[in-house]
Amino acid sequence: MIISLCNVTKEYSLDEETVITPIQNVSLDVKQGEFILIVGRSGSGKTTLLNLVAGLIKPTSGEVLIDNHNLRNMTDTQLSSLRNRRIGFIFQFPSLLPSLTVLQNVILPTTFSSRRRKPNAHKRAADLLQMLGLGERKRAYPRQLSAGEQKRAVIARSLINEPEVLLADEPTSDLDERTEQETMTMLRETHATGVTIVMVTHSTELIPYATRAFKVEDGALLDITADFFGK
Amino acid sequence: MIGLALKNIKGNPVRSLIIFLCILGVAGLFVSITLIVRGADNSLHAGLDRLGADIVVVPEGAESKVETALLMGKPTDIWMSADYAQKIAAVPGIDSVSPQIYLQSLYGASCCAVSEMFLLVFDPATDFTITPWLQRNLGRGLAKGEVIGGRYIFVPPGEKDIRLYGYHLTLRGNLEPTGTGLDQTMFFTLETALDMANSSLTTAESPLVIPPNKISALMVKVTPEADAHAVSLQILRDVLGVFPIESPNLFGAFRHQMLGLLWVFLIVLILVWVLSTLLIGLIFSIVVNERQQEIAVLRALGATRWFVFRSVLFEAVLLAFAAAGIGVSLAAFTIYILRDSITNSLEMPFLFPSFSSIMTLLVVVIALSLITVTVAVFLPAFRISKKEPAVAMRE
Repeated sequence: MIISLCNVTKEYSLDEETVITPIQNVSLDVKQGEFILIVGRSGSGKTTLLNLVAGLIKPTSGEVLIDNHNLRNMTDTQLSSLRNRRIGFIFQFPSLLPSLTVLQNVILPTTFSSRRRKPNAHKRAADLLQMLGLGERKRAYPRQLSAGEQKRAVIARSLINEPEVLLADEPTSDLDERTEQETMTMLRETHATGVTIVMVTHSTELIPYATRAFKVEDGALLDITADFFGK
Repeated sequence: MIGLALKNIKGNPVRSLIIFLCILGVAGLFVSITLIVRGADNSLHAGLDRLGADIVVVPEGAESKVETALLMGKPTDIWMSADYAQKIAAVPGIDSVSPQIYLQSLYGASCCAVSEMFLLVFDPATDFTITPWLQRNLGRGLAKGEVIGGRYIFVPPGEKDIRLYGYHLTLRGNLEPTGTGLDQTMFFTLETALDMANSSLTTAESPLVIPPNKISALMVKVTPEADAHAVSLQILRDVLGVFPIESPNLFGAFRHQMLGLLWVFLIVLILVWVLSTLLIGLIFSIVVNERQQEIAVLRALGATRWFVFRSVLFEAVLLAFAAAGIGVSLAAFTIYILRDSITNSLEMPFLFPSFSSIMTLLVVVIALSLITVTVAVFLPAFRISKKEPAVAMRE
C-alpha cells in the first residue's frame, strides 16, 4: 500500500473567530514496508496527521491518496472497508471495549464485515494473544489488565485482519521503560513481516526503530531522518 | 452485533433495567386496558347473542333494572301483564314474541358460586333464547323439574340435585360463559316455576310468589325485512306502559360508562407512552455520549455508520422485545387471575379474550414497543453514527 499526502492542510474552528491549523501544506509519501516515525510535542498535530491518513477526518485542502485512490471521493462504506481490511490502529488512549473480554476485543474487527469474516478468526486471535504473552489472560476483561497488557491486547487487535499498514498513536505512552521496549520490539517484529508502520510519538528516543523520521512543528512536517541516521 | 448489544445491555444493568421497566410498564398497561375493554365488549356481545332478541320489551321505567339483572345477574322483581305479549305480537314487522319471568333465589343458595341467583323462566312454546341450545345439546326441551345453568351454577358437592325453595331441580347442563349475569342465572320452564311456587308454600322458609298472568319481559324478533328501530318506535307509539330496548342499545348506560372509562385509560396511556419514549430517548442520548469514544474506536476499526446506527438501535430493540413479551404475559396472567375481582370491583361484565386474541395482542404490543424504541433511539443513534470518529475521540 502506498500512502500519499499532497499539500494537506487541516483547520479546526474553535469559534467564529478562532481557527487553528495543526497541519499546514504537508506532503508525504509512504512506501510499502516502511517504518515511519513522526515526533512532535503534545498538541503539535501528530494525531491529526494519523487521522487524515486513516480517513477519520477530511483535509481542509489537499489530498490524501491510498494506492492512488483519493480518500475524499470514497463513500463511508469504502472508507470503513479500507480501515477494516487494510489498516490496523493502535490508539493513544485505552481503547479496548470494557464490556468485552480480551479475546472478544481482538476478534471484534473481524465482525464488521460478514463478507470478510474469517472462519479461523477465533484461533488467530488466540494465537496472537499467545504470541504477545496474553494467552492466559484472554478471558479477562480490560479492567483486569495492566496498562502494558492492555497495550499488547490492542496490538493483537490491530493485527487480527492482517493489515498492510499499522497506524500507531503514541503506543508507548504511559508505559514503563521495560514495557515500552517490549512494545517497540513487537512493532519491529511486525514491521519485519512486511507491514508498513506509521507511528507518532513525542519521544525522539524511539527514532532508531524507524526507517524514516519526521518532526511536526508549527503545522509543517520536517524530515529529520538525516539528523539521526546520518543519511 | 447481537453479542455486542447483549454485552452492552449487561454492562450497564441500571440503565438497562430502567428502559426495560419503562417498556414493560407501557406494554403491561396497554395490555391490561385492552384486555379489560375487550373482555367487557366480548361479554356484552356474548350476552346479547345468548338472548337472541332484536328488541327486549320491559315495563316502562324498569329499563335499568332489567339491564342490571341481565348484565350483572342481580335478582330483580319486575312485572307487567302477560296480555302485552299479544299486543306486541300485533305490531307490524314482528316475527316472534316470547315472554320471560325473572325471579330470585333465596340469599346464600348452596348450589352456586354466587350468593344470590337470578332465575329466568321461559315459555318453551315460543322461546328462542334457550330452546335452540337445548335442541343442539340435549335434543329435546326441559321436562318439569329440570334446569339449565349459566357457567357458575353447579350441583352442591355430595348432593344429587339442586334445591331451591325446598324444590328438587335436576341440572341438565351449563351454557357457555358470557361474562354477564347470565352466567349466574338458572333457566327453567314456566311449568317448573309454577310447580316450585306451589311446593314452596310448604317446603320453603318464604314462598316463591309468581303473580298470576304476569310476566317480566318480552323477547322480540323482527321479520328479516323489518327494521328493528322502526318496529321499536312503532311499539313505543302503539303499546302504552312498556318500553322497547333495541338489542344494540341494551346495556346502553354501561356502554356509556365504559366509553368514559376508555377515554380516561387512553389519555393515561398516551401520557405514559410519551413520557416513556422521552425517557428512553434521554437515556440513550446519555449512553451514546458516554460511549462516543468507544463508538469512535469501532468506526476506526472499520465499522460503518450504518453498523453503529444499527448496533445502538439493536440494543434498544432487544430490550424492548424482552420487556414487551414479559409485560404482555404478566399483564394477561394478572388479568386472568383477577378476572372475577375485576367483575365484582368494577361492576362490569367480563369474558376473558380467547388465546388467539392474546397472541394477536402480543404481536401488536411487541410491534408497538419496537416502534416506540425506534422512535426514541433514532435521533441519538443517528447523531452518533454521523459524528466524525476523530472528533468523538477528542471529546
